[in-house]
Amino acid sequence: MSLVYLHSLDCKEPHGDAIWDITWTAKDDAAVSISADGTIKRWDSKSGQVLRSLDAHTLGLVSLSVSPDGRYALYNGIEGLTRLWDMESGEIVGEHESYVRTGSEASEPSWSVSLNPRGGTYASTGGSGNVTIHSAEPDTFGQQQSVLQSGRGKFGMRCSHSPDGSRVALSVETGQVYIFDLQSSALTATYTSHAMSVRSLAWSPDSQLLLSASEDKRLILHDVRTSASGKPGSGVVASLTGHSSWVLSTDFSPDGRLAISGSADKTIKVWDLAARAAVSTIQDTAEVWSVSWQPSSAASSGAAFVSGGEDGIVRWWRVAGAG
Amino acid sequence: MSQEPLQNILLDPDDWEMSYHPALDFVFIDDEPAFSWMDDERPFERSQGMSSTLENSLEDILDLDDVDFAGSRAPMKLDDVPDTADLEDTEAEGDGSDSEEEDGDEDSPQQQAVDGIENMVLNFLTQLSDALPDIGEDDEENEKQLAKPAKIVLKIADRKKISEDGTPATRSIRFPLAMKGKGASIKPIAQFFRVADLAHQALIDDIPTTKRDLFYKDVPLFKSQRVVDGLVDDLAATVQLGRADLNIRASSKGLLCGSSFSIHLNDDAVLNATDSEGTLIPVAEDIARFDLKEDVKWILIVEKEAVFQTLCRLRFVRHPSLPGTGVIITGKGYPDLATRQLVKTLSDNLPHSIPILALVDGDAYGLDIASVYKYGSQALRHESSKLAAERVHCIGVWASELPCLGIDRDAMLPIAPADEKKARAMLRRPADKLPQRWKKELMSMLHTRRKAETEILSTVKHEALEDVSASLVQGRSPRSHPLIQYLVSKITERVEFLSSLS
Repeated sequence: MSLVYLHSLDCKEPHGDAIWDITWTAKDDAAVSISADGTIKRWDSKSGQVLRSLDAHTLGLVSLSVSPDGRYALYNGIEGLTRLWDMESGEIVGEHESYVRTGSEASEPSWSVSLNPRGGTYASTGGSGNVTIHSAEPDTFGQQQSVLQSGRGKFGMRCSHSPDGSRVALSVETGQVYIFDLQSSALTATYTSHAMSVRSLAWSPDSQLLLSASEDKRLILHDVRTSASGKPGSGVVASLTGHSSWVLSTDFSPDGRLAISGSADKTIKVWDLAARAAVSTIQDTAEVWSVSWQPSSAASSGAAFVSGGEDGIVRWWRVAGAG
Repeated sequence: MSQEPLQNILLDPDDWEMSYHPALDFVFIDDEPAFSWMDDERPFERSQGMSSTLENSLEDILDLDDVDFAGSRAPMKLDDVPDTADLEDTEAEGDGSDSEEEDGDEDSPQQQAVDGIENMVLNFLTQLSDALPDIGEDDEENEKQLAKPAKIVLKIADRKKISEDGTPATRSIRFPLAMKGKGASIKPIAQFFRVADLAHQALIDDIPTTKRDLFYKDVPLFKSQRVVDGLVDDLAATVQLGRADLNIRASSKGLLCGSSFSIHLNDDAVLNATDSEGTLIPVAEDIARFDLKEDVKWILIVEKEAVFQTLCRLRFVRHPSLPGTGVIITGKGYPDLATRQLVKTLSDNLPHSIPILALVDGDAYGLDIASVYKYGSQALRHESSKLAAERVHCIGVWASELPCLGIDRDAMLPIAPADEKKARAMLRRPADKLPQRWKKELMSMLHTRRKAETEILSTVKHEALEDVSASLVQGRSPRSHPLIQYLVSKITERVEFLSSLS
């Protein structure tokens, strides 16, 4: 079986530099992108026009996390300035300078940030390999609430909350993936399926599977169900190979059947997870830093996605034969 | 109680080094605000003659106390340290208003340096004598004064701080140290004055010395070369002069290659650089003038000595594909003063059609080295106007160009925590000290977590070069070294760009 995706739309005002993360949100069918040029933009997916954007940060933006309702965007700059943007009002409702040493608690500049789907908190990673949970409430934004320790001091590349808000996954530069339970603040599982940096993580919509995308050119699917006895899931379920360079980004389709990956080899691949094989390879013009499926009903799941890469252009793609 | 410390104060008059005497248990009297030597209200006049300065001021100080005890002898070793008997004789000498001194070079940097150093010492002595209890005074008064703690504060220039309102930023060396129990607290002052003394000596004798010399004069006191280096720069900054004006010469480290270049030295010798070997760059004080014998078309600065040697061995300055001959310089990493001065001189005197290019590693330290040539260093910020060559243009190695050359991402080195820290620090620099291209490369380096060293150019396979777009590779002969091709294309491009501007 193979699918064909067609390039349906280019954004009308490209970013001035590489796009480092992008998310297709549930609200208004809008997509949000962050760039090395320091700007964050909200796009209309039908016209490719900019709906809202924020003034340029002095340095590039490295991490983006959008709330499930598509209203709030949490984003972080390369120096560690984290902001929460209310895209409905256009206001910045929270700001935290994670690079400032507060003295009392050990702090480090944030790298990857992730909003808790249940709201109220966000997680961040940094050079220490730990996940720090911060308050996401406007009046106490950024305040450290707890630190989840991986036990290894390696650079934390990515953190991501599970869709049900119960767990946080962390991946580090040396390839390990850690899963923490938020309720107990305990490390519940460690996966060592990669030996090179894992740049991106994606949870399945039912929070049972975790995809890791690594510089070793592979994606690995992990079973991360926690059984009643508390034992972690069985681990590696599938290994997806085919890219010829670093895999930079990955996402699960809304019905959980398809996965998508963007790579430094300038291609995007769509994978059928049941068959554990690629069903489509799309050629792009530059390194694909980020890909995101359209969040839609199961009926149209996997029909469209958006991508952003080194050339700074947001692109929308649709499956051939779709209306 | 007031008698005991007095006896301990007796310094051996021959022992003019301020080494720490364990029994020196100063109990200071009420502290007064410490003088900054730069204040205009000095208690003594500044005379014009060199050696007479100290005699006069000494006599002034002694007059204040009206007591002569051995401890008040000057710590400086001068041939003409006066005996107490001589003081009356010197009283009549020039008291500062006499501007017809025989020297005539009263405003020379040497004179300035000597005066500056001597004033600092006098300031210190003033504080010292003020802090000591007076003999023969009413004991009751003394007791009251002794009860209050006091300190000596020496203000010197802080090279690391940026001055807010134009006045130079200062830091203080205190005795006793601000925090209790920090150990031999007289050491910072001792080290500082030892350096000042040796510099003073060098100025008076007119025998230049080097920082290495200074260090070896008193290894137990200084413990490390770095201490001496820092103090010499601090001293120079405090008297607001260059290090060379203190008669402390730099030793040279940088190398030069290119037969079109010759250097005429002060002693009439001529250094001719060659095409295939490096020539040591002499210190600026020795250089009378430079000579460019041929039509030089480019100047290339390389960070690494290994790269320099490779280019020399391959006679790169005479490569047929280049628009003309040129000169290659290396500072062997962070450049020393002599190399920077050479680059600055070339930058100031060569026509703008001649590019000055820097080839550094594609990491934070490489870009920092390029910024030292271009904008000046942090340590010698006070001398930036004399050393920064803004014309310097960095040509790489840029990590973003490596895929074009067929170099795999995985061939690049992962960054170390030190690289990350340095890159973040550089990204905080103001926009006028960080070109846009550098900012982009630093961010890219942090994001990919990879850096590109110059050596990586050697890993380019010849087959890969076949496919490379013509814009990057020009005039390639079948078997030339990839580094050569990279540089040829960059230099040619830049020369063409600059000549199109004029």
